[in-house]
Amino acid sequence: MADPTAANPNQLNASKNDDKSLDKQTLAAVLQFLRKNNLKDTEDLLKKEANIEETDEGVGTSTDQEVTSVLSAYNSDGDPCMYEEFYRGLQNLIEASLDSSKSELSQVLYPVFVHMYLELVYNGHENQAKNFFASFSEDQEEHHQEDLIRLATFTKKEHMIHNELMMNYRTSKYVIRMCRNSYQALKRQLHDRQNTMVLNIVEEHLFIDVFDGVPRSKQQIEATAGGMVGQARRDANKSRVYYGLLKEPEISLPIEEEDEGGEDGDKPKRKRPKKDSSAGKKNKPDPNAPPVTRIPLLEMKDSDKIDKAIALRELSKRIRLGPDCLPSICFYTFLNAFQGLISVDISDDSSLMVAGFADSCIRVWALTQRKLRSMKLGSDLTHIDKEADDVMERIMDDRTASDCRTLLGHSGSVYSVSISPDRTYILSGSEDGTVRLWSMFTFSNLVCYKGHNYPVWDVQFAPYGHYFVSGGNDRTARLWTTENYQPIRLFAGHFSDIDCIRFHPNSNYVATGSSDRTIRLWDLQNGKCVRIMTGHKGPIQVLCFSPNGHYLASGSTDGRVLIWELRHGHLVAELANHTDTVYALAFCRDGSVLASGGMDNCVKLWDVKKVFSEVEAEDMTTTPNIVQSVKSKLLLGSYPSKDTPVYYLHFTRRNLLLAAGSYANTSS
Amino acid sequence: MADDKKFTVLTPSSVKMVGESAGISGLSDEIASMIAEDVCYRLREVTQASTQFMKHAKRKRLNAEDFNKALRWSDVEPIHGYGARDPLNFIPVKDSELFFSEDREINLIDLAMDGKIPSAPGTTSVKASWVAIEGIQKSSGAQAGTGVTHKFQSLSQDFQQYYKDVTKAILESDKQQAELCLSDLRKNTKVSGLLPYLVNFVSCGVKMVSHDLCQLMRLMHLVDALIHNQALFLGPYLVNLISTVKYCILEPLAVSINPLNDHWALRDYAARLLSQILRSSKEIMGRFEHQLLAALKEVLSDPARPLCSHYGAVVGLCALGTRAVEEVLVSQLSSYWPILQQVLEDTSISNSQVKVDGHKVHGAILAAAEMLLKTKQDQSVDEESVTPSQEQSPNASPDHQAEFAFGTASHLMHLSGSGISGSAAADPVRKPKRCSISETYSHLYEYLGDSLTLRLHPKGEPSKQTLEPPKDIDLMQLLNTEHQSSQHYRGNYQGGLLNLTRRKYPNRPRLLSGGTGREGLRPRHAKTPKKIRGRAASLKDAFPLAKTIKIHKSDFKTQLSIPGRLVSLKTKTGTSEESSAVPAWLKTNSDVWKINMRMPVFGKRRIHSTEPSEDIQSSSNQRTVCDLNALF
Repeated sequence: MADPTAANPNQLNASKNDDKSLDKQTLAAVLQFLRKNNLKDTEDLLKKEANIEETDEGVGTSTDQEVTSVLSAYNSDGDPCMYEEFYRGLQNLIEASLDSSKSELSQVLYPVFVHMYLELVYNGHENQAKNFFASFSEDQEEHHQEDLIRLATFTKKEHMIHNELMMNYRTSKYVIRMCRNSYQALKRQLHDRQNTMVLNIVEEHLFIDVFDGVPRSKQQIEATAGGMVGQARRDANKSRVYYGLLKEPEISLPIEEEDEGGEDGDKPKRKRPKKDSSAGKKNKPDPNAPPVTRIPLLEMKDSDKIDKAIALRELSKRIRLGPDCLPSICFYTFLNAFQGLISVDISDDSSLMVAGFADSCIRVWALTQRKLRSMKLGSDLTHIDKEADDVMERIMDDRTASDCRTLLGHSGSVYSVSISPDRTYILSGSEDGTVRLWSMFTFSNLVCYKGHNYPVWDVQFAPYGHYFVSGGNDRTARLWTTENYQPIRLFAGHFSDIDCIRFHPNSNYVATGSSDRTIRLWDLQNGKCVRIMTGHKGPIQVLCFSPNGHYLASGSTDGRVLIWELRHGHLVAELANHTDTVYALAFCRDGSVLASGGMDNCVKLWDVKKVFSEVEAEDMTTTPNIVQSVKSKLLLGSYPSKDTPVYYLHFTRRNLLLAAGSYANTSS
Repeated sequence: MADDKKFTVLTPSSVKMVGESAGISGLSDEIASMIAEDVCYRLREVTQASTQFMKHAKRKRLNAEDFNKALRWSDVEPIHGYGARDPLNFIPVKDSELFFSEDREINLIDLAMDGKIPSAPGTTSVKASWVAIEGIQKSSGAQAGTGVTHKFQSLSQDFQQYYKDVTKAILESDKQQAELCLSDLRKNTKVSGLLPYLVNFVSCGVKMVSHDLCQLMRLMHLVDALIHNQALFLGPYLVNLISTVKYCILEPLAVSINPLNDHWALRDYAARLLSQILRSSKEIMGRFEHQLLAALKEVLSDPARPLCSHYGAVVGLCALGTRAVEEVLVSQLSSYWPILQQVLEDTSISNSQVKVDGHKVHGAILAAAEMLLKTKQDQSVDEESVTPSQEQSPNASPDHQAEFAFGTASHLMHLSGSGISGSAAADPVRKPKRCSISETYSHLYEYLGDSLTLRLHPKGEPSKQTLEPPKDIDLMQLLNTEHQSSQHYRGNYQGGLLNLTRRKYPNRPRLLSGGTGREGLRPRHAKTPKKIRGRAASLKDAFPLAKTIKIHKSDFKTQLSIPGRLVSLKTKTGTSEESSAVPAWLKTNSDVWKINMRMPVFGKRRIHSTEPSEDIQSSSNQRTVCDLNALF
């Protein structure tokens, strides 16, 4: 370490020279650019002016090379050998700080490390960058390893252009939440120690969200750490979210079902949201519910009303689940699925199952006795009495009845399928960048929605039909209506792929989970991001809203299931028991039990009622304690299958749990 | 360069080489290294992108398809032809730094299918099964789809522990523990989940411990417990169980090498198990009878097999029933007898051990014949009681063709219970093609001679029929001589056997005086299978080390106690200790016989290698056995 200090004065001189030569370089580049674009006058002008105001011009004209300018912030005159010393200095500083603020301060280490490395790479100090990486990458926390591996792939300035991760670090500031005392201590220490390099990075690339109060504990920090670009800013979760359920439209029903008042809305996907438990009587509106007209919804059809009546009849036969009464689990195993099963969906009434395969076909199965039938041909349809009561029955052709139908049309793996609430349509999202709408009357493709242009990872129908959302590799989520071939909303903000997307039961919000390890909640009405939730340490694979709309459960590749409350966007519970990626989550119809399943071939049941009651007892204005699954004994049961990963979970209206997966898919 | 190991690195020279192959020569080092570095980076980038496709396909393994998808979405042409499952081999050219990928003929269809889809895949289907009922996991059967491999780890902890305890108890020497486990297994109604593992344990076990008689016996006890457990449905595992039991009956087990081991008892016990399994239902009998008969017949007709296998075949036939005995044994006797006879006639010292084995087989055949005749006799008695007819003498009514309608044989039930030497077999046998008792008798008598007669009247009960009223023979003496007969090889033949020779059959050759222990044997056939003898001799020559293994003389008595042979193990162990693996006398008695150890094996059949047994007393002999191991 003696060497760099000795070399320091020389280095300063050298850097001054660098400064000048760099300006000249920029100027030369600009001139070259002008020449290339035949901007002769400007070029001449610039040449003239170059003697007087070279720097100003240089900056001003180079803005069209957007990427370069973005990166040029990494232009640094620092001695490449000093980086290690400065970083070590930061480490020592944090080590020497007060215990109470130590864990808060150590949040700074990772972003500083990343930005120092990028600066080294940008300035062409390849070997120093490698050494720097080798020295300190081990010190970073476990959940950063995935990004670090990617970071290590760039060793040249050229690599940094067009790289997603790189751009994320560059275009957005890494957010760190810190209490005022810690922040001031950090600043003072950096000044005292003359650690200008770190100070610059902190000022330029970090956003420190300062709050008044006591420093957070290590556990608290760790719980919300994990996002690709740090935590959510506090003000990001300030806006109001109407997480209540829509007022149930009045319909005349053959059966009175008023005794269900105590339970909140049960069917997330059906037109039967009930009022919030706090709302009491049916006619009192839920204060947290959005106005019914906030998002325009379709009128209920007669068939919907009949369907709802059936659903309500089922309701009376539903089993109330709890720790003493666990559901039966029925597993649908896909055999001979050599093509590779990827996605499964089961209709709300559990009569249909749709599966998307890697060989781009979609298969539909009838799970009940009612077979799949096509509509009669047009010539036959003209003879049918359209006024008959059973016209829907008459239009179907019995000769086409079968248990399984195949839908062909995609030209890439089908990553997601979704059945419309009225079971007349199927949506599919595929690797070919399209979303397709299929008719269940003709078993053919009706519409191909092009817009993503990159693989679509997930699609879902809105709980009231008509709308649907999709999210994919292009890092955007889009809202569509079935009758329009262009999206009506575009939700942009994630730093990486959107891996999963789910509608809120009241159809006013959409939650997205991303590979940037954050979950966002978007308002359909204005397209704004209203909640950002960090805490997962891996890409989010699955999301699921509680039936009453208050909570959101998420599963990730880290094998953990987290539960968030939507009022403030706080993490309220951590359910850790899975040993591998969680692919499927499902709340039971009354919201008291959560089922999760994943790559570890296991279905697990969790007592979430306990979580909710603990959370409701707390004051939510401050960060709540996180309910830990181990401590609170939330795991109700674990049910391994023999060799079948769980891809999908679904509670029937009577609270029977259905699981689906493909046997021997992972045997390779 | 700390991260070198994490990434593939393309060297500038490779870039140059690729450039040259594309017709670009003379790349400068600088350019080559820049290109190399960029290519490396692009590769890493694409690999990163392809992991996203892997994750969304819900897989753990990245495949060529994922990589191609990532390429396609980065606007790069996908690279086809790398979807095959086998890794591409890079072959270095000697003396130059050149590597190339192996270019062999490939199956395009396989490649196109990415090796994932079998040639005749079943249709994709969905199968529903219960994983849990009201929160209680179904112990087994959840998703027992076709070809599902069972995962032991997926069993509950209790099951795993139980399995461990049982297997440990079976394999360890703690007798009490083993008995406890077996008695529990016999009654426990909840072990069905473990059944496949236990069956597997037994069927693998018999092959693993074929050198240890005690453990083999325990494994057979385990089978016994499984078949007696009323709560178990053996259905799909019967095949395994039967083949396991068959293995113990027929195979020349490693325990058989050491003549001290009473592997005969094991074979008897296994045969009894077989009969119990088969008798449990008509359906099982029908399913396995034919193939078992074929297997037993094959063993019996193969002279290359050791005598212990032949013995197994005979007791196996007994287990299958009198019909099997009649159909296979009686018909095979004419070809088999000369082989046995040859063994028994050989009085050379070197042959003594094989001869002992031969006597065993002889005894087994006798027992089988006795069983057959007694059954027939009872049938004819029954027949007589219905339709009184003339006296049944072998000569008088050879044309007796009465047809009997009887139920399925279950005569072995009493075999296992009381032994063949006890009361006469009472169970009738239904035979489609039956010979009259007299025919059978005369046929058997031709081979077995008077010892057969003895067996039919062991307790001096006067026969109701006039089969062979041996009025001129002291029955007690005969019984004694039978024991003596087994000791003939020792040379203490007492005589008296001559009396046995029946004058009714003047054609029958007389026994030579001086007795070779094959009383009633037919003279050797003219066509002696010299091949066998030759083989035996050559074997002896081949293994000159296999000479002296010490055998206690009194052992032979127990080994050859033919009449008691089919007595159930329990009663036998109750009366004599000899049947257990290490007889007590062995440790105390120093009176040791030296005999030439000849392998009880002919021809290509191998004997399983064995470990030095405790039974062998002197260290020098231990070495002998070790040497044997080395030879095999």
